[in-house]
Amino acid sequence: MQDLTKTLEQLGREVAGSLGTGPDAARREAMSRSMRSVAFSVFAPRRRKLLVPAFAALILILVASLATLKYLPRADAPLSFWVGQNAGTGDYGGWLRASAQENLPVRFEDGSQLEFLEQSDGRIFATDSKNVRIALGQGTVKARIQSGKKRRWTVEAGPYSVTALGTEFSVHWIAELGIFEVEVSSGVVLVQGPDLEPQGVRIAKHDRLRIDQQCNQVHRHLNTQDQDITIDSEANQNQPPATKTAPARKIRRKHRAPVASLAPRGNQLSKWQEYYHSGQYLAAVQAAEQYGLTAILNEADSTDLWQLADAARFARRGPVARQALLSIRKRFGGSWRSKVAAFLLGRVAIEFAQDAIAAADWFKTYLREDPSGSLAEEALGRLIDACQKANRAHEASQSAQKYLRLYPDGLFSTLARSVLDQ
Amino acid sequence: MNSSEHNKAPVLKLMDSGRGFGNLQIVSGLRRKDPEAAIALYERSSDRIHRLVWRVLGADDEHDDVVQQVFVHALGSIDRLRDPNALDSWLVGITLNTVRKLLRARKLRRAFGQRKDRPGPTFNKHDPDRQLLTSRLYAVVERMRPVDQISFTLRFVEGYALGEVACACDCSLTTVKRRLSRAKKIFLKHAQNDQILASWIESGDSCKT
Repeated sequence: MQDLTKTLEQLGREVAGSLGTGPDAARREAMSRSMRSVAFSVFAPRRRKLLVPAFAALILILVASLATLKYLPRADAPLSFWVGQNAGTGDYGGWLRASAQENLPVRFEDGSQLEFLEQSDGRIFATDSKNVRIALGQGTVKARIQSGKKRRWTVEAGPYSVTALGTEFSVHWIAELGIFEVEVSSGVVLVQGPDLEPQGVRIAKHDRLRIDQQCNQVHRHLNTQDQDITIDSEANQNQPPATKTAPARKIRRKHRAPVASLAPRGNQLSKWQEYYHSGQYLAAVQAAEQYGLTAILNEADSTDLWQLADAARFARRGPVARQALLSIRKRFGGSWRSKVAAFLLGRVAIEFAQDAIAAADWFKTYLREDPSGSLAEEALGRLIDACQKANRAHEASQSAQKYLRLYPDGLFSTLARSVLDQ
Repeated sequence: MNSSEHNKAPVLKLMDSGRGFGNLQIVSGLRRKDPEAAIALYERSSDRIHRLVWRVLGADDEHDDVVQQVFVHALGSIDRLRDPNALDSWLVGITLNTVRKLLRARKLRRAFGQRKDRPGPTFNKHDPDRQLLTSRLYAVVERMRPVDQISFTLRFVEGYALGEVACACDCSLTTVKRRLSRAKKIFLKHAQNDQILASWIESGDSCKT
């Protein structure tokens, strides 16, 4: 039991290192903003008593009411709303979920309407009488906002927010895939979030903005009538990672950017992928071989290739893992997977083929392509080890010096010091 | 792995003392319904609460909701806090109670087949091996009783000592030991059927994953 405790402690340390200490900065920032509004709504300051004589106040209120009754919205209370076909009264903050069979309509007191499409969910908040906030958890919500009502409507989807006054638009969000899409049927909306300009992006009638964060690749499609502006890091795969923050712009005239199908791929999983997802890695590799490795290596997308490489590594089938990783390098060069594939090729070379020379070359490739990547420390440490095994004493010594300079307390610091002591 | 990530943090010392407000000021501000005190409370304790919830639930997709519930509950029940100096441990108690309620509700939903397991958010896409290991661990941990899951993750993932776990869970050391023993049995039973975790148990070497 004592050994199990030690193993669990070691496992826990590994997991803790992988998890980190919480969600990313963008999510924390969004939560911080949300908490501020919660704090103010929970602790709303009390109104001070008016010192104006009652009679004067009454006259003033009457005059003001008559003068503004026609123009001002009812700003005393948040909008009431009704949910579903049976129009049950909705509660602010409660979860709204559309079933797999039908959409869920939401009607507001002022005539505005929302519709959560099948299997979508979200919540509606009223931070005050002039702001309505819809937090889309997953799926698609269509909004038809009544204009001229002086209310600010915001749909939040993950790190993105879409703000509108009077307009008709839909927002789509798949958290797992990091896909965000907004399409405007009428009016104008303002989209804000990471990877966008600080002041936000204005999306007008018949325009569409689509952001695909999957695999650390940012795709942005902004369609404006007969002109598409596509900001696509995948089209510039040989560019350094800086494309995410300063993406290259390509303008294609008379050609609308294709929007990939948003349907989940789960229904189309082939046999080997089913085995992979159930953790049967050897069976997955065998099924892939039966299906035809060449076809998979030439046609599968980067996610599938990645899964095949993982399955092969876990099943200790080094040659298959190597082929899958090389295919990623060849077909998806420049992507984050391509960079990490270089690191994994190094591990495959040393662990399955005991080829220290090839391993050292792959670790150097990873460090050259992603010198500040999350695996940089490990790659440099493993490079020391590989160089030592390949009898490249000078190179091992150089790598050890660099390692100790960058990571004096790192996991490989003992190895680095022992290399320098020799 | 960066060992500093796993440094033990004092369970009951939530507040970073360098941000101006003290416990007394915050508590008196909250009792006066001062929104600035609520913001100060969040700013000073959110890092630790985020970390606690993140590590216990494992990068869960309801993480944000849980953290928000913790603070909303704290703001609404501040009058029940007798000793302002106990603000930190009181907030830890609320956090773990909120997490436990969530886990119980999930277990109940699962029992009635209402909750479908969804993949958690991507938290470390640059290191898929560790991410896989993490998701497998939490898949097993979810099978434990909620109180056992909390004790297990606090002890092994967050790295608390037994006494700290007992303090955080507001129970005796014996109870913590009993919970951990139960949790280990569940872990062993299910981990043996998982290739990744099984190889870990056998070798304890992360490079095998």
